[in-house]
This record gives sequence, C-alpha cells and structure tokens, in this order.
Amino acid sequence: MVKQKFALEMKGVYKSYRDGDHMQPVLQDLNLTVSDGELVAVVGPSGLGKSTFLTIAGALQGADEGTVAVNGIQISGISQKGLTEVRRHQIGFIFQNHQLLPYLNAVDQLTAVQKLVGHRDEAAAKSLLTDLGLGDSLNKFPDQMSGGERQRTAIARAFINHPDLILADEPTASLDGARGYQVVEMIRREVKRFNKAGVIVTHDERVLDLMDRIFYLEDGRLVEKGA
Amino acid sequence: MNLALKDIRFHKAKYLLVELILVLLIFMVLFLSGLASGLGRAVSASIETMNAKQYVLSGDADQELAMSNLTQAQYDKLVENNSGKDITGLTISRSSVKRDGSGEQLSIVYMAVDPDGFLSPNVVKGSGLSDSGKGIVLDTSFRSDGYAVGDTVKDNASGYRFKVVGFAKDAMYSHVAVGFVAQKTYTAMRRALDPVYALSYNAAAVKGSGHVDVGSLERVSKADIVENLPGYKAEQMTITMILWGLEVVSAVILGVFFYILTLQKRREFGLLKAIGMRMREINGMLVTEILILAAGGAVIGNALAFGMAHFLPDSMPFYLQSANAGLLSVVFIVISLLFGAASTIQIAKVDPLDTIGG
Repeated sequence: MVKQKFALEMKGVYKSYRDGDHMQPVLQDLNLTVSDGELVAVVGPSGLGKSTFLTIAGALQGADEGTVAVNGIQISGISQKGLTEVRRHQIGFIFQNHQLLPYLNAVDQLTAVQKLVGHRDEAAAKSLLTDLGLGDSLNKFPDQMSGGERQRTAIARAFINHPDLILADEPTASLDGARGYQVVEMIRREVKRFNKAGVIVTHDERVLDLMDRIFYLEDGRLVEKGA
Repeated sequence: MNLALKDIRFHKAKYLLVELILVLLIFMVLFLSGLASGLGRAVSASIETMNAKQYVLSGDADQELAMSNLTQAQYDKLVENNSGKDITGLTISRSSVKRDGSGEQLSIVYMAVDPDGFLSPNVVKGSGLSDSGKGIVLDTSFRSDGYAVGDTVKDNASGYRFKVVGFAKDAMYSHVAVGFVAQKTYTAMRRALDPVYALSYNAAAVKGSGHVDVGSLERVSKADIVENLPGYKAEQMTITMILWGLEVVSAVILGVFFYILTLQKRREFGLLKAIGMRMREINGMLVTEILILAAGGAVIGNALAFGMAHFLPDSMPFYLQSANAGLLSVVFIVISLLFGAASTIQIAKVDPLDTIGG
C-alpha cells in the first residue's frame, strides 16, 4: 500500500497551556488531513483553540504530543530554525487584519516574499495581483487601499511562492459580508487553480458553502460536519 | 537589503527627525573637537609648525620653554659637542607693540631666531628675516588689525621700532600672536633698555631626532615641549573631558533612539518571522537601516562642521583636522551599530505567534 502524501497531516495532537497552577488542555487528540486542491474550514467560537490549532499547523509552535507533517515533512520536535524554514518554503499565511508591511506597495509586498525563496519576479507578482482584481492598485501602499484590497494583497502574498499549504486566520474578520465572501471566493479560486491545500479558520458561517469540507472544533478535537 | 531603504523612504518624516538628531549630535561633537584643537593651536601652533624634532633646555626648567635659560657659553658648548647636527637657538619673550599711526596696543611674543637657521619663519606674504635692518615677521592675525608690510611698529617697553617685512601663518604661542625677529635685531632692541644686554636662549632647537650630547642640559621632545606650554595641558584636559562627556551622552541618546525604533517595529518583526524570515535576515535589515542613518548623519554632520569652519572669523580658535573628524565619525558610526546590535535582542524576543490573533 502506497502511503499518500498529504499537504497537511495532523495526528493525535495534544496541546495545553499553564493556567494558574494547573494545565488547561486546548487541543486533545486532534486529527486532520488535507489533500492538495482541497479547501477546508475549521469553525468554532473564538477562544476555543482555533488560534492554537493554526499556530501548530502553521509551524509557528510545536505540539505537546502527536505528529504534524506538512507536505510529508515531519515538523514535530524540530528546532525553531527548522520551523522557520518550513514556514518559509512550505506555508503561505493569510492573517487576520492583512498584516501587510506599511512601507511597501502591493508589488513590493509580493517581491519581498519572493526574495525569501529565490529571486524577485515582478511580472509574476503583477500578474497575480491583476488576477485578484488589483490591476489598478499595483503601486498603492496599504494605507491607500480599501480593506478588501488589503486582504486581496495578503492573499496574493500567501500564494506568490506557490507553497503547498495555505493557512488563513479569520480572513473575513475586518470585512463586511459581501467583501468577506468575495475574499474567500478568491482563496478558493487560487487553491483550485494552483492545486494547493487551503485551511481557513473562521467563525463566519456565511462563507462555509465555499468549502470542500467543514470541521468544528469541539472540546479540543475536530469533528467533520456530516461525517 | 532594500527593505530598509523602502522603510526609510516611506516613513520620511520620522526618519528625517531621527536623522536631524544624529546630524546635530555629530555636528556638536565635531564642533567641539574643532574648538579643542583650535584652542590647543592657539597655545602651541608656533611650536608645532617649527621644523625641530627636539629641544635642549636648561636642566632646572621642568621641560618648560619659558622657564629655561641657556647662556651663550652653554649654547656654544652644546653646538661644539654636537658638530654635524643642525642646531639653532630660540629666544622667547613677551611684550606689546603699537603700530605707528594707530592707537591700539597689541600683545606680542617675540621669537628671536637665526635668519639663516631652520627656525626662520616661512613667510606667506612679504619677505623673510635678515640680519640687517630692523625687520619683524608677524603672525597673520595682525593683518586683521590693519597691519601691513612696510608698517613701522614700536615695542612699548623699549621704544624700539621694527619694520614689518612679512607675515607667517600659525604663529601663535600661549594665545598670543608671535613676531619673529632676527637675533641681532632682538639684541639691539633689548640694548635700547639695557646697554649691557647679552643674548641668551630659552632653548636650542635640534632639527633631527637622533641622540644629542647635552651634558647637564636636558633634551626634550617636541611633544613634551608642547605638553608643557603654560595652560596647554589644563585646557586640553578640560575640553577633552567635555568632548568625551558629549560622546557618551550622544551614545546614550543614540542607543535610546534605536531601541525605540526597534520597539516600534515589534509587530513587523513578528510578521516577518511568521512568514519565515530568518533572524539573521531581520537583524541584517535593522543593522542596514542604522548604518544608513548613522553614515548619512556622519556625512551631513561633517559637511556642516567643515562648511561652517569657512565662515568662522579668523580670531576664533577653530581648527578641525580631517583625521580627528574621521576618527570621531567612525566612533560615532561604530557606537550606533553597537546599539543596533544590542537592539537585535529585542527582535529575538518577538514571538511570531503574536501575529495570529483571536
């Protein structure tokens, strides 16, 4: 039997935090596999481990127990430096509140990230931004953009290096309903177009119809809707 | 890394203010350095420009020119014992002079030298000294008081009249402008008051730096002579203390600035870490930014200080040496970089986890 390589594979993940004098478990036996070209949502009210899930899936911190693999690369137990390299090459982040660098225009936001893995390719950056409807905003700085433009620039930044896994943290949080939906639609489009795995953490029920699979975070575990 | 440049270009106003402070700090340090060497030069310039490596003083003079006295006999013996060496006598005395036709008295230090010896002044205007005639070569500062070649000046003590034959640059001694006269002329002036005056010397100047047979006299290097000029050491110490005080204060201000700049960027650094930028790259960006700011500040500060030196009046003792300015600038940049390096500890503490909200 050939072992299938998943874009993201989390098995038996445990994570707890110290809360006063006892340990507060946040994730308990969490399992999740996401394949290429698949867009999944992780839904749950805030404060119940969504961020923790995202930071572990995104190689920002390690789990207490269990294994996490990104594109077949085992990231449990590796050093901070090793995690940095995984984030650099394997993962594209879309953060809440865009997190663009204030001093870079849209094109430079992307070329700065390109330089992390190779060489700047301004043409590719411009074409991706144009695909996302930002053709007229290529030279705009974040403070000149609308909320939707900023979040679309952030999407472009996450995809520009063609990472295997796209992680989005509440991408609709700062947008109104229509724009939020549009942004998630774009994430879906790019996930399908580049055949990447996408995981969106959200509490925004309105965008769930765009997902291939939906998971609810309950008591530290992921429960698939309809499963 | 060009992220640093783009950051500076985008936040023009902020970095302009930071740069302004850097420029002012380095300008202040350079300006003080110029004043320090200027004051030092006002005391020692005539000795510094003299073409002698060492001096022979009387043994009881404590290496101080003004306290030393060599009789003609002692001088002759010294020359005799060191045949083949270039040695010439130097006599120094203070007085005041008045130009014929002008009311103002000016202090002067006479330096009586052999017109054919190596202490004979380099004249920038007019002609040099000679044994014949009553010629005097004045420091150029006399020119701003209206003195010109061909004027007659009267020594106030003796009433003896010199004829101004030329001007020499940087002829200052203990804050007083120097008048060079030939030893014969000097003797004639002294004899106007004291008919039995015989020329004696403060020191014998030796051109080379090799060994000199001095007997009971004392051999003193040029540096020690300058060091022991009255007032020189005390002045230089005071100003050097102020200079270093300023340097330290500037360093602390710089440190605080760069620390705050780094703190302000914690969020950005968190993001850069989250998207996989290595610590080394982030530190490189910060250090590049500080290097640009500090080097820019140094260049502008130097331009200001040297530019201003042109517009200062001649009477102001300001003398900025490029070697000194260069050293201060480099120290300034190095201090900035050290503080920049210290700020990178802040970056190490930034947790990329903070980028994920909710």
